[in-house]
Amino acid sequence: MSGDAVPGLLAVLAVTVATVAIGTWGLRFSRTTSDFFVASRTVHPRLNASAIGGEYLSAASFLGIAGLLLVGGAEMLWYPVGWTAGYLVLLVLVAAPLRRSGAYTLPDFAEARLGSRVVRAASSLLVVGVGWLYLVPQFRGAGLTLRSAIGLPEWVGPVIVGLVVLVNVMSGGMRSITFVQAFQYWLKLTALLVPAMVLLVVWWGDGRPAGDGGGAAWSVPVADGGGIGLYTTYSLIVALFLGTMGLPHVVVRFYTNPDGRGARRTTLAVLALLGLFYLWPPVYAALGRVYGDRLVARGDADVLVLELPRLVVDGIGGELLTALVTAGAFAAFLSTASGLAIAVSGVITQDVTSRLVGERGPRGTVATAFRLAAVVAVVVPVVVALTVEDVGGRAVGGARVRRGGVDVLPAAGARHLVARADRRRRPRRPRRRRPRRRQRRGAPPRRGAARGLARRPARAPGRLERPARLRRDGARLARHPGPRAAARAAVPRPAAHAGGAGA
Amino acid sequence: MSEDRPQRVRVTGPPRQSSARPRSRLGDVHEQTPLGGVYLRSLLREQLVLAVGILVVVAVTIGALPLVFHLWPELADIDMAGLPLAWVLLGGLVYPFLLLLGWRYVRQVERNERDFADLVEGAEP
Repeated sequence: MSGDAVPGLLAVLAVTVATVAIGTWGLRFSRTTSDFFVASRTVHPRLNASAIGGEYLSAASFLGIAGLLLVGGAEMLWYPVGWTAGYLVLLVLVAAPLRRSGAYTLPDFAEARLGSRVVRAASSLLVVGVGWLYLVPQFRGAGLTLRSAIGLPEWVGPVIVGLVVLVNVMSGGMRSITFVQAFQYWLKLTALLVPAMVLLVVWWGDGRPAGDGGGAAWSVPVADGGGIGLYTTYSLIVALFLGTMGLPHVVVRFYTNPDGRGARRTTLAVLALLGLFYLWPPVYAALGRVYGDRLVARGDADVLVLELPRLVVDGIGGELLTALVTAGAFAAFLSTASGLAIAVSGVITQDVTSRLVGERGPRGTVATAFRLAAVVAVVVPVVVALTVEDVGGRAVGGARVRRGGVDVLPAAGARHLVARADRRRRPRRPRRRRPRRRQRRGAPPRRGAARGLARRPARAPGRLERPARLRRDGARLARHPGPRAAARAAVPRPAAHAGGAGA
Repeated sequence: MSEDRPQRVRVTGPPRQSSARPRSRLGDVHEQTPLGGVYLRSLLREQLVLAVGILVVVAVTIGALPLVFHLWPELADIDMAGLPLAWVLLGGLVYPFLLLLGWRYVRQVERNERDFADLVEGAEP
């Protein structure tokens, strides 16, 4: 196995080095709180969409789907369809309001929307819980992939992925991770598309052999069992369509858009990128019907994407294609794990570590708090992945179920976080926090006017960056001097506010 | 001096502050006066109707597929371009369809927002 493993090893090394290089490059940009949490909300929709595609397409999409399709047939097509359609639901229901809330993290949003400390705490616990439960299979999957592709011991994968993610998250927070994830989307697409093209050409050259057809059930997109099967399929569809809105690492990326409009355009681009990606797993599955009988017989369908190039193309060509696919799979683990690590670190920073190191301190403290949180966010699941043997995987019926289920379970578990919050009537604006009221004490004593100002759209539940927000308000006041605003401007303001408005 | 001196006529430019031009409602919206609330609610209702419309379209097209294949299982035997119908629909055509719906939605939503902005800021005469 050692000779075969060299291309794969090189591919994994190349992905690791590129990821760390791009990630640490972000170090030169990231200074402020906003950099670490939301990349200062300056990410262009196209870059952001690539980044969302990068972190969203986990190993379940890259490796799992093709295997599921090979064994389960058309019924399994609902997984990629649901994972994509979830973004349409997200687009029409929550994309713009999420961004406009001005939150840094999902708990911020929940608190701003529902005005409850208890909801905030619950939301924080859920994000951390979902993130960790989601990270453990990423780390374990990396271990399994490296073992089957290169023959490394199983603990190597979690340790490498954990280290790379930690370095990237700590060095630049959201800024670094955005570039890393965008890079990894295109890497994954290439790694899936190029081998698929080569395999199709070979298949065409072989005279387009038909596979064994897979039986009648292979082309029916409904689960077996009549009425129960229909019910099962519909429950899956509902879970998948709504689940995307609840993934904390996806939602947090929407906070990096410049505005609500950008958030919508990002989602639209994500729909395009995911559609482009998910066209290819069915190709692998169909070719697996033709060339991969041995895999099905062995019960190894979940390594279909990794094994198929070797089965179809002989010699060095097959090895190179396998190396490319291995690189893509490894990138899938890295990018999904980075996204989750960012989401979890953001929450831990706000609710735990910033209190430990002093939240209101100078800039350096925020970075310190974030880095401390990143260590906690990554080390805990790595340790779990290394120590716990096969969390439930075999019990549920083997790796096939586990890989396929990786994305589904957290999605279904967390969806109410956002879906519920958004079901409130839209006109509700984030409730003001006490500190802001204090800031506005100098405004004229018209309560209605003060409330209107505080409830204006595009308002953020200012937490760490109050001066910037005031400055933005000032700019808007200057641009639209309505009669009341003009009257207000005539009244002398407290120094802090006036200074902010002038800056 | 003479009696036939023409009468004095005041010459002015077109009225700058036309009373016909509606006053800006932006203040109302920001202050959340009852009037601003009406404007804002109309926008929100429009966007909500649009969103629900898109979801209904998804439900009756993609969402109906399992039911259709359940009621008429013989559809599974139909081939399109050498591939089973279900694979063509769910493996390929569904993605452009989703993208199209998303694109329509974004276009319409942005149009609504522009219209709203024109309305509250007072359209140019």
